[in-house]
Amino acid sequence: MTARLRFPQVAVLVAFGLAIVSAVDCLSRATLNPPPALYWLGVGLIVAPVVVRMLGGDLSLGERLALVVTFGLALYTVKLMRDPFAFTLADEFPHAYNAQQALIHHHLYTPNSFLPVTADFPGLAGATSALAQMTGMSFFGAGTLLLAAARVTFMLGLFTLLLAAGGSPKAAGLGTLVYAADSNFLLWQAQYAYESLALPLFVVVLACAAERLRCPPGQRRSWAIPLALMIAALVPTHHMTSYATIVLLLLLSITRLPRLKLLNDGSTLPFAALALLLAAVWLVSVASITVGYITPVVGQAIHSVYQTITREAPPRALFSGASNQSGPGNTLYEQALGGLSVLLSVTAVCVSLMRAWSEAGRRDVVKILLIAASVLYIPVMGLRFVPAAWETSVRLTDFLSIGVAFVVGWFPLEAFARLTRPWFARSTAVLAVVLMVVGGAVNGWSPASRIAKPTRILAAGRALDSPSFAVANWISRLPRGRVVAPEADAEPILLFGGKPVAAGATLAADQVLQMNALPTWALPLWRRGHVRYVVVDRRTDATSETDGFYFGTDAAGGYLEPRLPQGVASKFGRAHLSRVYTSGNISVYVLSGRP
Amino acid sequence: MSTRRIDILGSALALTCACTIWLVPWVPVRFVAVVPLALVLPGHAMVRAIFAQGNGESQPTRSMQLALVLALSLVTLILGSLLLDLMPGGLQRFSWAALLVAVTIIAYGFSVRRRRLAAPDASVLPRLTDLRIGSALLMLLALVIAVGAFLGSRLLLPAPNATGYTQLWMLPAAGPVRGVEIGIECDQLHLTRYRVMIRHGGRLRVWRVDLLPGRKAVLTVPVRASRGYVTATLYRQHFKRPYRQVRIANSTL
Repeated sequence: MTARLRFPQVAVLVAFGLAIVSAVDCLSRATLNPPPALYWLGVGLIVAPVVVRMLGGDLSLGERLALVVTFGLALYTVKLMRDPFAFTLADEFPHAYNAQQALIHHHLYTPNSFLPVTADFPGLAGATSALAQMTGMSFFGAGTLLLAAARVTFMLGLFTLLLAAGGSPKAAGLGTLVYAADSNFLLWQAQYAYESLALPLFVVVLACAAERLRCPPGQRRSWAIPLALMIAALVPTHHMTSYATIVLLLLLSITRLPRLKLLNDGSTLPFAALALLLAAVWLVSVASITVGYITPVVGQAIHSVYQTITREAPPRALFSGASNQSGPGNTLYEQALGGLSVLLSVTAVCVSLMRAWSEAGRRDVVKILLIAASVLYIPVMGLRFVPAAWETSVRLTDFLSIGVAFVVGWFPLEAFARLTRPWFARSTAVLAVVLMVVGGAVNGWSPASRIAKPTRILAAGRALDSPSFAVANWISRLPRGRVVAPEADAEPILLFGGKPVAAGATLAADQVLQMNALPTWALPLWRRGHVRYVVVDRRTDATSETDGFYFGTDAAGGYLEPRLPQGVASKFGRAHLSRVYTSGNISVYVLSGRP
Repeated sequence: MSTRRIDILGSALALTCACTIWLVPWVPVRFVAVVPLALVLPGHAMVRAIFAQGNGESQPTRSMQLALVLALSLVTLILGSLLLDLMPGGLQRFSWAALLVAVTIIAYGFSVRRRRLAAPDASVLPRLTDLRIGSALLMLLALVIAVGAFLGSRLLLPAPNATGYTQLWMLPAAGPVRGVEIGIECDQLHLTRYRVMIRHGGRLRVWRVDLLPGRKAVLTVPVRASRGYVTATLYRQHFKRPYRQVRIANSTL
């Protein structure tokens, strides 16, 4: 099977997989409701041939590198085809706004009213502005190019890390493919956001540290420069990744773990100190807001874990996505795929652990660290049963999945690959990886968020924007002033309308906007917050920052849009505010001043 | 190729790319120049400078070199943006190209200087050996299909099951006339006939307009100062119930 399938044939099959995904996205944007199985067929066609070829024993290092890069770019293209006109996934709007402002003002750190912390980590916006200004492209084109480069860096860095830790190019290649089973790999890590740029640098830092530890102690000086430069670039790019880098480098400095037969000299400690120093300086001098951003998330997660354990609160239902995701849920077979993906990962980790424990000889610190990460992956996955810890679990597994990738590629898959005769053993290995990757993607996002949806359609030869995008464009013509809006409208208003926004919990926006009657404190609060315009949206999807800004479809195209009662909009009329715009569900009221 | 020649060629390529970015107005041409200058050459020059000396054991593996070429190029963009932000002109096309070409040439210069005592190294990039015509054609076919798939995904398509809508707005009229500007944009999937009833100070004006999808119409209505609101109510043909309504306080005009 492997002998007949060479890289060019693999590339053609991967391209066909992309064509299928593209067709599904087109059908979905045309509101023709394509079967989800067709989407998974396309993704499977991208994954399977690469795994088949990677299982071969006669591949050169160059071909393995080409395979992992092709694989990474192909899955990145799946995300691109979901959003081919603009950045529309979750956190993309505020980050795109930062890049847009850097292009307009030629400087960084423009305040961001939707996600203020992002303005203090301008690495992504700065790098995007370089490509946009030099090419003349929009921030969308430049950001897409930048993240493609970041994806290639990630794949090469991960392969190098796993190769340095395990020593086998085949296991490294397989492990790199297995990382795609992380539930965030397909969409979240390909979105235009700071973590998508920081994670590749994190992986390369780890790979550098691993290769450096393999050098004789007297010849490690050269490695200090790339390590220091990458640490310095990580700090202004993403908070969590730079903190993870500190933890990682500190763990790599551990010199004594006798029971684990550790082999290490602790020489990464200066780099840990450097990362800690730079992160502390950045936190104090530039990004002090980060503390207020991260602390509530972690605090709520811990509190929720306690409540779930003591049964004060019910556990979270699996496959329900984020609380603000909407639309129909996963089908039964998709849920089975998601469960199977986790089961395969956990089983592989357990098998690997037993084998690693019985391994003779001393182990280096990188290997122990990766195995430890894979072990930690299991309880962290358990956090997905906890309502407020779900998101923390998803973010942590982005890092811990590197350990899973190592142990799965290192032990079980390579063992499968050695069985040359029983062809079904290899087929089983291929099937296992495909199931892990597809199931991982199921675990990450709701079906409504996964496949492209219409933000712009064609009618009588003219392009029509969705209501959320239309109101954003309309608001761009209004005099400057802060806008209170539900999240799905606030994000486009920030980016395309060019107005500062208050959404979600800011100024109790969501709470007030969804009430039938206007509380007496609301308008004074908003006036004190310098709010000038109020955007009301009767769609229940309007609070979803991932699903709320698309065209609604009628029953034939999917599901009818659930709507909030009439009172949520008319309460502002009863308060004698001027309604200056309406498109049906969405209305704009003027709170103060001349519109 | 001698190691020194690689450094010189790299520097020359960086300078050519920078000149292209400075002088050429066309985006596709500049794109071709930006990709190597921003995403490859700074990292390549730094890898060559950093690992110019030392034996095989201290050298990074080939995959590490490739990862470092890209990672250090990204690092240059990130740290470069922080540096340029401190400059008076900020982040500009000219300053970016100048910074990148300077970093690249300085790093290649270090590489030349440090390599005087070093052994020749292996190329960072894998060689394209054994690439037969059949394989090349297959890879070209794969590229064509992949690019076609992506471009296909960018096609603007009709969406027969999408819910169309109509935008109605009212703003104070621009210019010296005291009045309101009333606008309608048809985002329905078909031609739609509208009737707008405009009420202000006891007066009524009717405005009829037919709009194709994506078209809009704007009407300016002079309004006398009075108490109350100026109200515009939109009806669709054959419908008796109001479809949209906006209003604005007369006192704010």
